[in-house]
Amino acid sequence: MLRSITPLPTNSPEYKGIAELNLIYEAGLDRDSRPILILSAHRLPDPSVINYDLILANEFVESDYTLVFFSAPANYRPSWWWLLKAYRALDRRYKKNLKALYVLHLTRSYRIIFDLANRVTSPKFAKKLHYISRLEDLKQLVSLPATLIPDAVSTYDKSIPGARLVAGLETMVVDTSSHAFGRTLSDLAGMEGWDLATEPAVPSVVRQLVEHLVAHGKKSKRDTNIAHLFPFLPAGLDKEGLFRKSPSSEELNEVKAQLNHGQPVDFNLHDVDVAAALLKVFCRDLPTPVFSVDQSLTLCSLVQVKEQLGQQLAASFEEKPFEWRLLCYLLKFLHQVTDHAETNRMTAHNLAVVFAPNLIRAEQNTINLDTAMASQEVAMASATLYLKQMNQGISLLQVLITDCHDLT
Amino acid sequence: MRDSGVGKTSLMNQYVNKKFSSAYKATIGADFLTKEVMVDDKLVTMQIWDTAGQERFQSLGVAFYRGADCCVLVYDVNNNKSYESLGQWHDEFLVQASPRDPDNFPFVVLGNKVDVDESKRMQVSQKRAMAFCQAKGNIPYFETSAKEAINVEQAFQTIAKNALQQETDVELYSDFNDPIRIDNDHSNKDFNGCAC
Repeated sequence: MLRSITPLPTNSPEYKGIAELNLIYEAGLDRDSRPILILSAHRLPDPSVINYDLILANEFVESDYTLVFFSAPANYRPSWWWLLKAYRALDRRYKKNLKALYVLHLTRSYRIIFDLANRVTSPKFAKKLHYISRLEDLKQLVSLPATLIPDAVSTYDKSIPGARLVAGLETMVVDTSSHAFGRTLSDLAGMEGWDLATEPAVPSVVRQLVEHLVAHGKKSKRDTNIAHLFPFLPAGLDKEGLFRKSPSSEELNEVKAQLNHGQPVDFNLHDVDVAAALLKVFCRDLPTPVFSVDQSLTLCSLVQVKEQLGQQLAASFEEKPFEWRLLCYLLKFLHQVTDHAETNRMTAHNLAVVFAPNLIRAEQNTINLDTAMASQEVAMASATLYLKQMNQGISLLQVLITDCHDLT
Repeated sequence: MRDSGVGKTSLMNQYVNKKFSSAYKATIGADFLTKEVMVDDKLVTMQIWDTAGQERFQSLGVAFYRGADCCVLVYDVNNNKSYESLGQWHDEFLVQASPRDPDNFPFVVLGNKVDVDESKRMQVSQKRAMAFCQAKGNIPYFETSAKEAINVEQAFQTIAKNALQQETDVELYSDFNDPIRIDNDHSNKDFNGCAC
């Protein structure tokens, strides 16, 4: 059965030796299009003979990858110390590129020891590690072609009694008591101890994100590493496509979760796109939109007459003082972003396109964007209506960004 | 369809209008252009949809996925992140568009912006992209540059051909229940190429 598997490319005699063991093989791509590698314990060689750098010296490992480890059955069972040593023997680069490690069928006692060792050596690694009890549970997380799962592993899986739940996935539990995203502005004000008299009257996460983007945002991780050598490198506001280009969704969710848990985040460790995207996500996740669709429609008809627009704008926010303060703060910041349009290419129009769908939406979700169940005609009609609303919203927002100093 | 700023709109413009604009503009919602094209001696009208990369607009694309005859996935060869979600997009399209025969639905993958200076280029290796295409059932793969018009014509010709193939299959299927049909002129028939 294992004949159908592609072994590692082999350029040298040592590699060939390892390849003959068929120890690690590629098994397609995971949901984020990263290569999946499978390591099967029942083929493991003597660790004193094999250098594990060589085992993983596949070109795919140069980029991000996911590793699935079938820990049972094993011809000679590796000790926990052996596993740890194997991990330690790996080059730092390989560890960094390892995005997720799924360990199947590892016994409870091994897990406890492994966990303990991990807490001491690398808490970061512990986050990537998931223990899976059954092949079925693995399927929920990674889709592996059945032909690439060794027969020995499938047989072993069938031999263990009873269904067990996936362990080690506590991190996936959603914390409903968020400290940052998805809360109303007045809730956040109460929690953080500020009110409308404070300057600026915006949630701390918004302030953090904006201040980071203005002052410290670096272009990318690579540039961060050399930034101390070249202090003249552009800061966040000069990055091309700021707010337009998206960061890695994984990194985004990770940082979002940290902020929701109230943990401090050093944004310098992340791409500037992460902070930019989080500002959009914050607006999008607000229980009450900054602009309702009706509000945006009314104001949109006034964009030609600036004096009236200014008055109406303030008046329309009378009932929403927190949203008003947030809007003023954001508009001033976005205006500042357009000052760098020559380098970041984000003009008021581009920023309006990107921000409008996050700032403007119906109070109640009258337009069903989840068109999966609707007929094609209904889907097209609601899409067209939504587009019309957004086009109006974009033209309004563009004016607001450009003229924010006169209007707010 | 793909992440923001990978060059979807530019590719479409280069193909249809033979122009590259260095203007930098995020796409609002969705837009489309049409072009008449010869495929196997037949003149057909290709409708190319361009969907926005912005996450909030993306749910909108769903309405436009359906009825598409080919799906074009675009990423930026200089941007690893834009490559990494290709798989998500591929699956998302199949779920939302729910084509009759998902296993044989035509896709084309374009790695755009190959014109960027070698030294800064190729964060995503050609090998990796090709491995992806192979894993998803031998999707045709092109490395393109909307700016320098590299491979754009060839890529869209393949898109047109595969889309037409899909359309013809569907036609034959529905012809089965339509015995009175005498109009066999297949020229100038519309089909959608979805450059989402």
